[in-house]
Amino acid sequence: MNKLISLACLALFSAEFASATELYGEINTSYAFSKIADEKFNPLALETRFGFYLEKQIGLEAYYGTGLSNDKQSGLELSLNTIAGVNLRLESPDTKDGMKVFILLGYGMSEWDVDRSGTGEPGKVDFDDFSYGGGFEWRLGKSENWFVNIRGQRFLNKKDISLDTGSLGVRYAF
Amino acid sequence: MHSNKVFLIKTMVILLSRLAFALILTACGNSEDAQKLKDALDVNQLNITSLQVSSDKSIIEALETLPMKAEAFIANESTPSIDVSNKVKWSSSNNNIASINSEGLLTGKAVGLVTITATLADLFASTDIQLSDALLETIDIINNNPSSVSVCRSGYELIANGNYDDATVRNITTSVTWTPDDPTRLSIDASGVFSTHKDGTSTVTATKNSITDSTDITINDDIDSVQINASDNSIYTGNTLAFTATGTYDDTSTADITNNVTWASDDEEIVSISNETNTKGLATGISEGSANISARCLTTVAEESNSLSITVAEEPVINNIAIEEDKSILEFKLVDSPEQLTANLKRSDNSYSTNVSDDEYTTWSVNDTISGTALSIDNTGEITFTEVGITEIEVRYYDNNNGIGPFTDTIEVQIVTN
Repeated sequence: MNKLISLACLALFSAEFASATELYGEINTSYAFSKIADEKFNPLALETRFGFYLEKQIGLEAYYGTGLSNDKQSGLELSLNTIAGVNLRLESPDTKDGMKVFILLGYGMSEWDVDRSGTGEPGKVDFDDFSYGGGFEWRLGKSENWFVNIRGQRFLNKKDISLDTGSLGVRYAF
Repeated sequence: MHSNKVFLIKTMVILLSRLAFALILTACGNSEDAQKLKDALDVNQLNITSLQVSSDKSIIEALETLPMKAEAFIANESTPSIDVSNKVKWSSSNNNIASINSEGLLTGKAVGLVTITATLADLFASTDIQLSDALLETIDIINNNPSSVSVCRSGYELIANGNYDDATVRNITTSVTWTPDDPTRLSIDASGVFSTHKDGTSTVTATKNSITDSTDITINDDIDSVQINASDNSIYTGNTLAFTATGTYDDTSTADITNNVTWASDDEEIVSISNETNTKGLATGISEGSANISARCLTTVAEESNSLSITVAEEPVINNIAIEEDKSILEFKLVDSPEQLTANLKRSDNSYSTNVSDDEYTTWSVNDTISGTALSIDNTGEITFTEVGITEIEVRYYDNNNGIGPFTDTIEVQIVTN
């Protein structure tokens, strides 16, 4: 369900804003910090983001990600099937060195696949929550279009369950 | 450009609306999925291999309630099972016949057979409960206690069996109403467990649906002595101290009879003592002085009692600070540098309280160099010295937030050659 919604969002972004000049696309590799009660799980994920600027330094972006690796604690194997959502992206102006700070406010969904000791249970579970985060971004050399960034984002913070990610990404402004 | 912006904003609103709608559809699953994960982790962390569901009865009346119990069996543990009644998810095969709440309490609604299932992660166990419309005809009280029981003693049990018109006999101990004829002589709880308070004979009646049965309990005056104990013989005003009473019986057995005796203080203005159910024997200091606390077991021939004196004093307040427990001078050899000084808060009764040497509210300083070269002191009270001499050190404590202080104390520290 979440996957379909996310793909629909991405399709809308791609189709409806293809001709706009303020579009950007991004790819991130993320290290997840997931917690269930007192156990910590750290699977890897890959995310793609598409967005556009509503105003200078205010962007709206949609993202979709999927897991790259699983993690196992106390016999419970966890993988991230899907991370998807939308963010409002607020940026600072560039410094002389081409660095900027950005913060993200949004709403995200995540679908996990969990297997208890090979039983296949409880299987797929999904969560949604307000998400927030931020990071730093640097212009790659003297390029007008390429940026590299690091970001941290909290996707989920429910009782006994949380999901945060730390990401390294490359962004291309069209 | 303007129309392009309006288009972008319109599309953004549509997108967010679509997402919000999708989230409303999925949001309901959040807490349920979180519980699934937590349960799966619990099962693995506790090494649970299987579940078992049980109850005191397998047949109940149609409108009766019945507590169900779920036990989890643990692999490779000395504890064979743990009670997980509050952890499992309970379900009934037919909620029109009987429902079950999250604590495992089954409530009967109609005649029939239901299967009650407890689920934890992917493990589950079930049991069948029959809800019957058979009528209760008679009650039999089963008294497995000795022919006469001891006075001022607890833990005796009565069982009630119900004889129904379908020829079944069911344990209805917890569903009858237990009534003693004289509650000052014998008290009994809802599960048929009784305590004795006075010797003599007491009649206990079990009632259900206007059907009754009674039994006589003979309470024997077989107590030899009552011994009172407390962890201290003094108490501050406003503080409490628990007293216990131990009874010794004719057969030399002893029992904790704290809840069976009558407690009294000979001066309630100095110490009060509770005779309430959950606080029996708990003394409270009221004002300064001494009082005797007594515990009595009432018997018809003579009452057995014992008393203990207790002193009540005003609780001392923190009103000073002392370096090295009020020493006026300290001597160290030059080679022993550095050395640690200790400062304690001091109470109004001259006893020493918390060590505050390294406290955030404590300040150490050199007050005066009396002779030679001054030593140095850091904010934890550690002194460092390289030359001989006599230095006066001052400590100051002031906890402005809690209104404690300011207090100061000084000490002379003499550094001598090796």
